[in-house]
Amino acid sequence: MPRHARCGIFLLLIGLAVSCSAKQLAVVVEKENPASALTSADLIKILKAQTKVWPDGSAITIVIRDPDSPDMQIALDRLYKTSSDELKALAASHKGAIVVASSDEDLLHIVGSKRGAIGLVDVYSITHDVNVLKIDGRLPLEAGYLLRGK
Amino acid sequence: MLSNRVVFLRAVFLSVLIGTGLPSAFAGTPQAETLPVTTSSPEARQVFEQGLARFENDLRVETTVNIWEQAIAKDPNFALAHGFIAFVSRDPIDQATHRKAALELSKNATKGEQLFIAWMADDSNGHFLDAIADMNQVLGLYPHDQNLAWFAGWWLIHLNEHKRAIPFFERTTNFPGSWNELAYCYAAGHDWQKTLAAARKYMEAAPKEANPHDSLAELSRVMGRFDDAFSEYRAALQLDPTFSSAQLGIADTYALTGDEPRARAEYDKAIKMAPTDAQAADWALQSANTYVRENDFEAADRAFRAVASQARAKGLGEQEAEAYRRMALYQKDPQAALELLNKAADVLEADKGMSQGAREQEMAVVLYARVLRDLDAGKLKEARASVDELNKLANSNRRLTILHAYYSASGAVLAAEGNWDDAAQDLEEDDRDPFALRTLLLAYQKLGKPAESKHAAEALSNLNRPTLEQALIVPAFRLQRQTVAGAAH
Repeated sequence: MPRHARCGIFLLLIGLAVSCSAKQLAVVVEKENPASALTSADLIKILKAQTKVWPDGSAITIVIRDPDSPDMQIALDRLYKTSSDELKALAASHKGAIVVASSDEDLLHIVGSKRGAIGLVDVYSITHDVNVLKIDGRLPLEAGYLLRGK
Repeated sequence: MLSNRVVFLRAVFLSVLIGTGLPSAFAGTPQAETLPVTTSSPEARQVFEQGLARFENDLRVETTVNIWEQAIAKDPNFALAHGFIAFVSRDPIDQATHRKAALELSKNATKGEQLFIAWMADDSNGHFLDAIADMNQVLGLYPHDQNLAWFAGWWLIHLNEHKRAIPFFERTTNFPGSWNELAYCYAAGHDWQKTLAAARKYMEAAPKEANPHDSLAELSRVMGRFDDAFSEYRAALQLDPTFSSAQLGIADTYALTGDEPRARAEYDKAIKMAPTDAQAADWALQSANTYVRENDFEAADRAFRAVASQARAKGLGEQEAEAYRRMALYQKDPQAALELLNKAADVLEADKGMSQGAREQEMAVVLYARVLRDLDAGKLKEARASVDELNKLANSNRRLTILHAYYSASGAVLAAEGNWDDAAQDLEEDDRDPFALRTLLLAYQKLGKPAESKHAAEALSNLNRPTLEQALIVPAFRLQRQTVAGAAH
């Protein structure tokens, strides 16, 4: 069969989208972190290193990908509202508190193994080694989730 | 048919543990290169592998499920066979029955099998984040398992993640069917050269089968190469005169080229070949679309009402509702359109044979049509209320159809409110919907984004899907573009 798949009352021609699909970033924390949700306002304060500790007193470590990477464009647009150069400068001025991971795998390893760590990662890379937080009441892939884009 | 080569490959790629699964303690350090298959019956294992080969080569769900059911008959405790049926079956009752069995029996299976079954169960329960994590974990345990890689690609395509699916199919091109998947994935990314190369490789790998020609025909049509589409569809029918989707393809292609009387004649032939009453009704709906392409709305009304009536007589609620929904899209009187949409919703509610999930998907499409027609009638408040309903649906049932209907409807309302930035973000979610693409183009123009506007205009202009939505939007848009281009010269 070709990739025709009947999906309800109309024909969905799977595989014939006209451009690349949207990307979504998941906000992940280590498994022991009791947080399950954040508002976007609180997340922005954390990512800009303005909030430095979790409510239990543990220090926050922010783990991001290279600010020039396509994935980080969503974070730059929706959260930092700044350029990649400015984010690099922010990371340089907060060495230790902001860590740039070399790959999604690296990011998940750092977040999963470091108490107080929080990271932004492509949702399709997540594993059971981290928890995914709701942002403004929504998880990735839910309708209206904030951190999505082309 | 299953090739000997593929059976041999299964034997190589599947390591098999008969009777004893690996204990969970070994989960982090798998002993096998590939996912173990726990069964007490060598015969069941062999039949199971035949089913895998069948599905990976031609995606024939019913045939494959039948084969796996034979494996289960030989070993009723075969967890993985239950899991695979639950993963691919289109029948919600079958899915639920086999999912339950797979989850119960997986307690005696290996950690890898448990993860695979959890992946399937989380997917069917709409727990997509857990499903992604399950998939990544089982792929991490068995990175060289070609069947797992193939299923990861297949699953990602169902989530509209074609680009991510490509590496999985590129690793499994020893399965002829992977070339078919790759061709469609490349087409989704507009990489036409690779699309054609992959489609031809599929043909070389399965030279006596009709499906490679059918696929190449469909992909040629997407590219606007209608002559190639016709010749490949005919080649498919020559190899297998019962290959009904090729006959449907010929009819759809005539419809797209504007030869509507010929399209109707070809649809008549396809309908006679349809394997089920539901498909016959679907194809009769396609035939009714041709009158809309001719702007003969009275004839279209008559044709759609005839399909609705026949569908009602056969207890096909989906097709009856779809006839009313399509009629609602082209009615000049918005009130008449809304009455038809009420009728579609009533039919869906009354159809007790439909699963809740399926009903919600159909309802989402009806609600989206309601938003479009409410906006045409200037009823912004009513349109917003339908978007809120869609939002609720999308949060309870996370199927892509519902999510797309929600985003396209929300984008349409945001655009009507002049909130172009948020509208564009929502409308970008479904780039196969001509209504959404048309509004997205306007949003980009309002936002002063010329590169994005150009891309959206080209995408809309080149959309060759044989749908009513395409018929209503794309030919008029092409004409408008030509007029503007002509005036500019």
